[in-house]
Amino acid sequence: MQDQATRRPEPLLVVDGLKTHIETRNGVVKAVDGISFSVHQGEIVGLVGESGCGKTMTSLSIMGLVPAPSGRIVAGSIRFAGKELVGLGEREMRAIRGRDISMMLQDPLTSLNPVFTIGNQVAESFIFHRRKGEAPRSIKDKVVEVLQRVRIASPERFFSSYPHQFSGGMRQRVSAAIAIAPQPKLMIADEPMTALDVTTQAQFLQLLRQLRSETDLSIIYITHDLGVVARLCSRVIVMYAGHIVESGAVGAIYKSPAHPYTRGLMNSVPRLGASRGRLFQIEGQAPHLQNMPPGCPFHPRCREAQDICRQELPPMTDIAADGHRAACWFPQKTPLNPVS
Amino acid sequence: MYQLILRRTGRSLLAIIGVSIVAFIAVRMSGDMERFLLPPDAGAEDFARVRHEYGLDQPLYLQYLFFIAKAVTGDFGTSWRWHDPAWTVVVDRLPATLQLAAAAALIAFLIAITVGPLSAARPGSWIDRIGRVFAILGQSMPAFWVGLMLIRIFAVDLRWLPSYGRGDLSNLVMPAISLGWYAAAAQTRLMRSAMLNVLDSEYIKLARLKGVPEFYVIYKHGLRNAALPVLTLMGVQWAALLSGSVVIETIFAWPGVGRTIVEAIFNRDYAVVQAGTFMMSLIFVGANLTVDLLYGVLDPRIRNAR
Repeated sequence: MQDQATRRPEPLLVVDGLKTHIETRNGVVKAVDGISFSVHQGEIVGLVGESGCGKTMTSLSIMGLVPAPSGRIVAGSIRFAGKELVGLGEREMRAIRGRDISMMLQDPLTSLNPVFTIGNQVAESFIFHRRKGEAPRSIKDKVVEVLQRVRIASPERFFSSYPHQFSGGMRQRVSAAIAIAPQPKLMIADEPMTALDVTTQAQFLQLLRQLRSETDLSIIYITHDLGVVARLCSRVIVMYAGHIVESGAVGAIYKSPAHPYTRGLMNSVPRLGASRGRLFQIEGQAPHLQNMPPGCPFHPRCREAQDICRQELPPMTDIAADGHRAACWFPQKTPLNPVS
Repeated sequence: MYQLILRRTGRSLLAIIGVSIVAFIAVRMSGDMERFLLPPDAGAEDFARVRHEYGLDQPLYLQYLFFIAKAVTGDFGTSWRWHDPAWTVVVDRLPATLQLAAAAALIAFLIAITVGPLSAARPGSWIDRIGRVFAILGQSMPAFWVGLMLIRIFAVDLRWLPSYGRGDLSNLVMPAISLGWYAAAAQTRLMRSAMLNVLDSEYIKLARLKGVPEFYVIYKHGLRNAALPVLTLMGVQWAALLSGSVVIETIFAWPGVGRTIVEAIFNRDYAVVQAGTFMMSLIFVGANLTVDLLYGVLDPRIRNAR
């Protein structure tokens, strides 16, 4: 899995120096402040970070749905399948949104419209994105087929039912059906399992893996759950306060995280078999995105912080040849020991 | 769904019976009918005779039972003033009132359904600002004053529209606007705020993420969800439009039920008052029942509730 990135020459999605800022009454919030990353075809990338670190704003930037007029992409580029998305008109963007790039939202209980049938809502993905030269089949057949693909047992019954008649797990399957219906190249899943219970989560992970292997779909999986990332993703990107602080293959990062923030995250995951001491916790709070400290955004909470950390923003540098990169003046090289 | 209809209809019947009791008692408390029937110099036995003739010497609850027993057969008694069956007196004037109220409701509905969602979609835009001014004016100006101003401008100064009576469409314009403006203002504001709430929800976000064009996002996904509170208001306002039409009917000399009931109260024409209030309550309750059932049509969660 690791060498997938090197095998394919042109990534499906290239985000370069993206800055998305939001103007508020109290000043400019730098929700995303200069991030660069890429996603290859068929790859599942985990985007990890605390609430408010810019994960969701990153995905909205890719979808071209930054809340206007307060929010705006102020710099950088987003290239998708060779096409620049920043600055694209609404009409062109809509042809891509929901068709080539789709998105799943966090809460299946609120993301389906309560007053329309499931069939109606899945059908919209087809109705507004009819592809040329497609075999003419009735919309209903297509909907039933896509519901089958997300392993819904009786799609005919689902077709004319309403969201409130089903459980959270089933509804999230419907959301997945909506997301994969137009056969997108890239799917962004924004914490799609937060509202699901653990057994349903396991089934859902299985489903995502199957979908990827069936269709060569790329997935950006946004979460703060490191366990899910380990089970699902091949690569992981760690965000902190609008910046990417570390990225690389899941194996490398989990074994020896280089950035103190990532190390803190890993250490705060409870482990089976570890002694039952107090769980590690990163001290302090994430900085307010309105008055970011100069230098490294993490320095106020970092135990290793030196003078340079308070003055200059560290650039992303290679930690290892396998694509493991981190933005830290003093990256840690030692493997992580389970806290004892 | 049938259960829902049955339950709501039962409740509506109770409401109508309640209204009929209140109206029955209230009109008798407003004064004695026989004083209008007899000359000022009539003696005590004349009074007693008339009271007996109209059954007014019976205990109140018996009078009511007699009234109800006849009313269910469609007999509301005879108007002493018009010398016609009271029900006929009211029914003859009903079309005029309904026409006025319906025209006003239609104006309000059309404005609310266009201006409301559009102002919610772009808060602060020119259409939102115009809508706000329109709403403030509508909610702060009493209907009778709007009516008088319209008469002043369009009938007296410009001489574009007739100021009184019922005839063709030009007669309807001014009464309908004066009656409907307030309702339009309230509905537009409610529609705007309901829509703002809905547009903030996750399913609207998902609709946009799916690539659904903005027009469908607002008018398909948004409107049906935002319509529920507005629908409630419309039901209540339908009642207000009917009763509010009393004033407007008077200003524009519109020959409707409202004016007839007011005249009947002044004349202690018990039968007409009772028939009129019964008719009005029937319409109110009918409107509310329609709203309740429309909920079920619009929102499947209500439809499937026990």
